[in-house]
Amino acid sequence: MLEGASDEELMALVAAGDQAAFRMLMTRHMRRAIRIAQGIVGVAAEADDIGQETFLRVWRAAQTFDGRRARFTTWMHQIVVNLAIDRTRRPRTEPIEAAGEVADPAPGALTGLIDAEETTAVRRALAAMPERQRAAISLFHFEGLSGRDSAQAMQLSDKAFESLLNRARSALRQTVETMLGDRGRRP
Amino acid sequence: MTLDEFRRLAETWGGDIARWPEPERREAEALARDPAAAAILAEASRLDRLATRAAPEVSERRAGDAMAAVTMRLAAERQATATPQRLFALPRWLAPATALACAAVLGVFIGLVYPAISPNVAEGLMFGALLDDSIPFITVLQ
Repeated sequence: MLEGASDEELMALVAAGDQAAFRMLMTRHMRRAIRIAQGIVGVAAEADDIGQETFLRVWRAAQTFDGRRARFTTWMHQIVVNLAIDRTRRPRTEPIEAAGEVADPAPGALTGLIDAEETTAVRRALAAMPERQRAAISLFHFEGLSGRDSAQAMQLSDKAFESLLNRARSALRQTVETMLGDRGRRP
Repeated sequence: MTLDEFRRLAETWGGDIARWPEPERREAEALARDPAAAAILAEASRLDRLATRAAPEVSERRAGDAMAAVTMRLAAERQATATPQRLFALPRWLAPATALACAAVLGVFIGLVYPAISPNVAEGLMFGALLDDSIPFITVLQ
């Protein structure tokens, strides 16, 4: 029965203390919450913590959520983004890029090596960005959210998000071109 | 829409016009047939692919571990708050009745275990035990 329920219907049950509905919401959205967080903080262990903290807040604040006014995912994305940006402002013990290294492909797989090198370059470029620009890339590119949904997740106007995404992509392009040389410009 | 406007939109939203703001799409699709515009889109798509490939991977197992951790943290919180709540959830009027019941039980116990002591001592011990645990009643009995 719960499988067919919308997120907002599940939230109404969670607000009444329904643990099965809460587990269903976590099953649907925990991976995404962790992935968004990792796109912003860059460290897997911290992203896992943020995923947990997000759903603790969902449980505790379920009664404040109004499914008639907002989608659950918008609300959840706002919690994740706020927690992740707060986390990046704490003193770090582990560099961001440590979580972003790519495993070496099989020997001789030239294409794989090039892909891995490019991916590492992009992750390093992301690690060097301000956290809000990383959040914009994470929401729009990693999660494939629309511009409007991304803006809502970051609690920005559409125009402000557009400007942020433009700066993020511009910084990404410049850094990748510098790291990869001519290959970074190749379509 | 000029080519410069087209370029600015492509640099912001990427090479997939379907992801651009809705009001811009129709003109952009018409302009995309122009080779210069098509080249701009191809360049933007290249950055899209690079960005998407850098997305972190999160396994089902990691998500499952996080879910289990949330469940355990909530259970621990519930347990930590439940015990005091149960204690203080007794109706206030029940407190004197509970004290009397305890006193009666203690009185019967002392009467059975130490039948030889005088009623006054037993009474004193009983109330002493109930009201002031600093009274060394065991010492008195010895």
